[in-house]
Amino acid sequence: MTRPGKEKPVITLHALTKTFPGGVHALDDIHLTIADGEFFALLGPSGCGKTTLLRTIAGLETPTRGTVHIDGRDATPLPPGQRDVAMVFQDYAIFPHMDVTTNIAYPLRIKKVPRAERTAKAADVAARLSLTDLLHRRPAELSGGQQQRVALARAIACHPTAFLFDEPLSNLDARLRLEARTFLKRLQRELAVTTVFVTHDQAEALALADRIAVMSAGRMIQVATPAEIFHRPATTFVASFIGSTPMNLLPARATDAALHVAGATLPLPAPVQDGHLTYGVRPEYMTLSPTERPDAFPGTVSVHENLGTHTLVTLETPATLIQAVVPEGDEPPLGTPPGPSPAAPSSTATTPSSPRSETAAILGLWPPGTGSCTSTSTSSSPPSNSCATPNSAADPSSSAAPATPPSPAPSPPPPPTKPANTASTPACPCAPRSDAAPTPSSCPATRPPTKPPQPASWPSCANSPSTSKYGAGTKPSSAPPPTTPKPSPPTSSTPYAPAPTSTAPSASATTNTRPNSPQPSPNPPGYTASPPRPGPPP
Amino acid sequence: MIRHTLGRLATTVVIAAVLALFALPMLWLASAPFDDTPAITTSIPDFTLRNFAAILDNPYALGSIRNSLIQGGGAAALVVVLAALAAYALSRVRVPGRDALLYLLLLLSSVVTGTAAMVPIFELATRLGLIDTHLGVILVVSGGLLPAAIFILKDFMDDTPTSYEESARVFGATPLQILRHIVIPLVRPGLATIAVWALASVWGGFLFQFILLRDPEKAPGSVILYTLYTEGGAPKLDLISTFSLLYSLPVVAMYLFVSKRYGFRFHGGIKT
Repeated sequence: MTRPGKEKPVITLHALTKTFPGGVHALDDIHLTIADGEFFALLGPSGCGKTTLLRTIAGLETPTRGTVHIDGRDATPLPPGQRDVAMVFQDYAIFPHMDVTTNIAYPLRIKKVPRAERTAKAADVAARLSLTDLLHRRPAELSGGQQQRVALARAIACHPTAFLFDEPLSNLDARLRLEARTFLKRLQRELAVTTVFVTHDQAEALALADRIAVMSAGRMIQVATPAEIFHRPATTFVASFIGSTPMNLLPARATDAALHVAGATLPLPAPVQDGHLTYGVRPEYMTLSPTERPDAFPGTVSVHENLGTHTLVTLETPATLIQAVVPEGDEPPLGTPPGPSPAAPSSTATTPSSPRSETAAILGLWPPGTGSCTSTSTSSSPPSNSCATPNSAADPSSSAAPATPPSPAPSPPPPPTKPANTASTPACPCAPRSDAAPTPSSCPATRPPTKPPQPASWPSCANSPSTSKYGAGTKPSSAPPPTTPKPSPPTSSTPYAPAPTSTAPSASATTNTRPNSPQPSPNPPGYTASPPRPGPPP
Repeated sequence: MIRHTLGRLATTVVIAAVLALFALPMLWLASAPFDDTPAITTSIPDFTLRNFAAILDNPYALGSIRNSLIQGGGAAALVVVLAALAAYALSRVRVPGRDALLYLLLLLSSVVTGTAAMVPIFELATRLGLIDTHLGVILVVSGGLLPAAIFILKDFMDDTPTSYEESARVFGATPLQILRHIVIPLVRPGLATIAVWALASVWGGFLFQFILLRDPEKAPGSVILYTLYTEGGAPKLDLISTFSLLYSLPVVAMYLFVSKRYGFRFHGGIKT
């Protein structure tokens, strides 16, 4: 969502490199173009170089190599004062010995604007930011939010070509931060001044920015719109950094148009070469099913984390941990299969590998979506999810995966005792799918003990779950798709209707070879609508 | 209980004794100038203002207070300006061995006292033609005060966030503007402290002034005080006490003024 009208670039960085005396590469060959009026976020963990980049644009740091162009001029040799930018510091840096008026008028004082004129101008800007009543106060007499507005007013007063904000919200308390965020976005829209801001808070970047640059170790990892960063992260780093709950990153193996992930066989979300890769899916796009399904990850519910309106449920599968977000009230009892009867619980406590896996809950992976998230999701606006990044490293272990699918011995259906379904709406917003249907009990519940037992702990999913028990798609769980009360749109003809429903959050998996690719999903459009066809035809 | 009471009593007595030790000279200073026949003891004065008339008759008395103001004020100004610039630079620029340099200066200025260096200093002042000049006194005493002043001011500078200055730089302020608009106002309490301390040091200083100034016309009060003796060598207690009182007043007034005007406090900034 870059804004319309972004014609000319206002800030252009070319091959920008900054090496500090100790040999630390704070910036490593940065190329970036920021368009006029754009609200641009530099996002990354502490020490990734984002603040150094901002300070280099401001002229407070001198690049070791490379150039900075601001508004068409080569600003690299210019001192900060001649770059026509205004910077708001993390601590706001409003001068404590001056009152609000004097602070706001300070840039004009430097420009030798007559006193009467600059006082009038300060009052004018202050009025826009609701500071009129505070004009004669000292900074120490202002609250954090008011101080921030004074800092913004001072920046606005000098009419710069661009605003540079260094963590503008991080000194505010949580509640105020949300208000300030909205305020900041509205202000930027009104002023339509190019703005670059630094943040380590992914939620802030997603909420505010037109485009985001994710940085790590002095490099730009991905530059894209918030939606694209969220749906199609370029690397596992981006995938795990973005999102309020960590993305599930699972080692997977692609073979013959199917993806074997943690005990499930899924359709390929995007065309990839056969081989090992990392499959990523956000917890928000997962739904829980009380019964086993071929396109779901079987496991035991081990942890609930209350997020307010939702609950983050952690499922232990033999090889790894998988998390899903479910609406409050729909949490499956611990140790039990998710949806169903709460009654059954205790027994399930066992580890996944245990024979008693019957109790295991199955996470229905949302979408067997194929193609790139973006394409698939088009219809369903929001969210598609996952992306896989090529993470070659992870793979090796997964090789084990191919283990033959354990017997799908059908075992008594686990718990579907109670059609929890109704209650359990699909966690995935987009996916209307309800796992609800008292799905087929046919699923072989037991997880073959055979599997490699110990699940590696979370991130390191060491062994990939071997089994792909159920052939992808093939066995649609008998579940009648439409069953769910929920909205599933086009019910898919296929069994799991749910999944595919339009929203498919597609999971895109990329092979190592191709990092993130926004590859064109093979079958873009139709796709979404299409039933969860398991195997996307690459 | 009794032990407790006794303990408190003993504490009180000790404190009273110590207080008396310090208070009695002050009391003498307050009473003796108004006593017709002051003695070395403190007593209820036999009130008179004759002593003040007598000291004003002394040709050097009032002039010496003026000389003290010139030398003290000059030294304070020089120390504040040089120490502020030096402390700012040392605070903001990474100089190799910076801290070692500061400690060394501090050590030399306090351990190797001016007394020990008196002969070379006198020799130097003579060759530079600074004997019998206010400037000579100002330069010499400032040199002794600067290391400590830099050391103290550097702490004040270190406490000022650099974001204030960077913010001003982004708005286009020149380094001198930054110093004038931002840094000086922020460290003003520190500057006031240094100024008061420097002036008070010079005001009470004796040796350098005594050695470097031969002409009683230029001698400061502390040196003139030394001349208030009879030819026989006995102290003229009436003149000494009166002049001491007069000589103390400007410093007390200055302290009160500075404390009220600048306040030894820091304007709150952002808490980090």
